[in-house]
Amino acid sequence: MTETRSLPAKAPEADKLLGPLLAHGVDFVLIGGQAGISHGSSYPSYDLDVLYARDRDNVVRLVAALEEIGVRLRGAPKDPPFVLDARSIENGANFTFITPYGDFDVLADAAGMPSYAELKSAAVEQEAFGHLIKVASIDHLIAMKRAAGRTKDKLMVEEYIVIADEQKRLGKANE
Amino acid sequence: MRASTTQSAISRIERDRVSPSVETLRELLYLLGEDLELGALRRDSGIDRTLNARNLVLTATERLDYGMSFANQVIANSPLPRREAW
Repeated sequence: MTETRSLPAKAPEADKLLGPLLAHGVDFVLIGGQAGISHGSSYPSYDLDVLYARDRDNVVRLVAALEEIGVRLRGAPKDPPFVLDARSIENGANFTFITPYGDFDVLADAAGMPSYAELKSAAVEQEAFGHLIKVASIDHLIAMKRAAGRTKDKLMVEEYIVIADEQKRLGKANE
Repeated sequence: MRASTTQSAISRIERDRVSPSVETLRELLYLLGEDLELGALRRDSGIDRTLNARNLVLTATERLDYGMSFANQVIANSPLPRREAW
């Protein structure tokens, strides 16, 4: 099947998407291209991806945050409308949304990821936009990009390996 | 002198049916009067390390802000079709 490539109308505004998640206390980890950028990648990213914990309380908090952001399913017919509530989130897993602040992918599962607990445990906390955000480790990002396997992912893996090397070098220099 | 392997094994190597182990290769080359020399070079992945080094000096906020600006610039100048807006 030939993939029709397209771009979103605009790049995601990370602060506008992550702010409500943090304000509502959602348990999540930033992954994907934005996580790569946060680690130092130079590749542009056109959506924002997070992995979220699937427990009921967290799903309820996630729904409140998504209501505040304003989301609708990307590319889905408007009729029947998507009902944003805890049950819809629990009945699904991965949701690709369009929002006023850009494309936003809210995922329970991603190829190449370990368990959510392991991913979260290895995540690094980075201060961004006045908040502490959990960002998937560069090693887990490499594993997920390897599993995705698209040409652009393979290119990004090469860069992420360089970043991992550079991080280790800087870490040693700072010791 | 003979290599410590069988004629049929050498034949399989010659016919490209099997890839010899490093030790077998070393021995075969030795019998031909050559020494095996292995080395490793950093892979040229085409990544500009200076870009990444520069990014690592920035804060996470600055990286994400810069990334958003860069992506918007690409979107503005790309001939690719746009997906639906909000």
